Amino acid sequence: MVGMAEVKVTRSPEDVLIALGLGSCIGVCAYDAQARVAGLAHVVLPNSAGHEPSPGKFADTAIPLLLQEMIKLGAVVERIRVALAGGAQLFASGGQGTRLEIGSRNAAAVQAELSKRNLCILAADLGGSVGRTVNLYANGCVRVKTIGQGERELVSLADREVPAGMPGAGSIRIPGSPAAAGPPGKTGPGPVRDAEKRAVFEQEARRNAWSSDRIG
Amino acid sequence: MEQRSHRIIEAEARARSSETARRLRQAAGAGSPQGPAQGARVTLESIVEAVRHLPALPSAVLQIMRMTNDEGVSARDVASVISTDQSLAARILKLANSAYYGLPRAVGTVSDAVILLGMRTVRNMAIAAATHNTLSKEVAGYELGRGDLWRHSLACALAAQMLAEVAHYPEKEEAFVAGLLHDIGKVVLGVHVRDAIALIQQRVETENLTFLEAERAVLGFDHAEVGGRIAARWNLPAPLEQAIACHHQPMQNGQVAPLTALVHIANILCLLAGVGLGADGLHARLSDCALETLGLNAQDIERVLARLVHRIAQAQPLFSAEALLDAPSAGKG
Repeated sequence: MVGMAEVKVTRSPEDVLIALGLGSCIGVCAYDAQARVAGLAHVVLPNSAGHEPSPGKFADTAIPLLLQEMIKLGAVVERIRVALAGGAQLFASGGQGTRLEIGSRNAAAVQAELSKRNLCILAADLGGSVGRTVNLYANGCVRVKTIGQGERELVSLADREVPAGMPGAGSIRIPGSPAAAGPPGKTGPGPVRDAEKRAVFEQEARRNAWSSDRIG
Repeated sequence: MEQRSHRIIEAEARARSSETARRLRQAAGAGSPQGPAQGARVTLESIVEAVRHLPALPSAVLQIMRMTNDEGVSARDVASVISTDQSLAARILKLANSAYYGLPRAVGTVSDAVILLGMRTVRNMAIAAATHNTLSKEVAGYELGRGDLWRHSLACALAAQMLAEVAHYPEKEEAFVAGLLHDIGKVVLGVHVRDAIALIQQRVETENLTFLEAERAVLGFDHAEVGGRIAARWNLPAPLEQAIACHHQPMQNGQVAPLTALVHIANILCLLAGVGLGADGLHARLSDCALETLGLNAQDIERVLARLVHRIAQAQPLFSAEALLDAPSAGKG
């Protein structure tokens, strides 16, 4: 269980990292398929403004902390792939009500931190006015439960075949990923990855409240 | 800008299947006694009846609530009232000894607890203990699992207390109680929301209504109003009743009462933080007037949210207080 403002990482195959109850918060799921290191950050606000003792709370400090902890367990930044969930917004209509925009600013801040490090976001389920819970399994599978709308697999962050019998195992192939490719770290950021990214975003955008250009 | 169409189609599909089910039920002449009598509208009688069936607040709790509002009440007076209800006294002692309060030594008597923690804190414990069972149940319709509403309520109580400090509202313990009870109406309305959830969601999607507005449009009642009725039935003070009844639409007669404003914003904070979210999600509107009433702006809200996360983490012993609160049924309240 990854509480608000917490960052947790794991290498043990039975673990599931769960961010229970994401409103405008964002669950940042990160995975290195080769080292089998999974990490989840439950980000609450976009910006620490440099004076906050709790780094896991803010996008600008939580992402470096998440990567640091994963590296300690043997992950390599270039191999880490990411999925995002959460970032919901208060409902607003006809100019009534202050929306605060915390959800969208969280999403933008997380994406900025990730792209600074050339990290690949494989899928995102962001926005709308719904509550979510995100589960990151130790095999890289990311499942999102949208309260009132059921649960689904968002993406598998693993490049290699996942062991049978694990929840959601093998039910999704990452679009465009070459089946016989080596470890993902060797591919590096490049045209193939960008194409993958776009393909998943387009696929996700159809299901999400936000359009793909707003995410990417 | 927002791609809503797929969700609307889903909502329509759900609405159709629910409509079909209702026609079948009507054709079979089997109307569920709890269900809506005509269409999805809920009758006033069925609400009143359901409110009547909620467990009443123990008389000791009501007495303490009145006492702590009076000047010149001693710790001994409060302790002696609590001691008339053994089950309540046992729960308060367990809570007082939980890690959350960090007392230097174990507390053995209720009067020690009152002296060390203060009358108002003990009063809040008593209300929490008395409503824990009701607020911890699974609430169908809102898709709140067991314990979800309790977590949301407790977080809202803490948020309201914190906002009261920030806004220099003198009665911060009052704010705690109002926050704790603000969604009590969901306990009663849940079953009706469940029967009409497709219609409600459809109205939310197609007519840009908040979830509460859609409840009212479809059922004729909303959970805030029903909560107000429960507060009235429990003889809670008028400002508390109003804070519960108006926590989504705080403006009344052109102004917002401070306690109502606190609970309104505290609830919004808990939705943003995602604590105990249900099917209504973040389909709520933040009232600018409530912010103005408290003299707060959007930056303040963000700062309070950052602190609330910390406070909730600190209060984990209270959130996981099932064992503390579900006391042995030795005495009855």
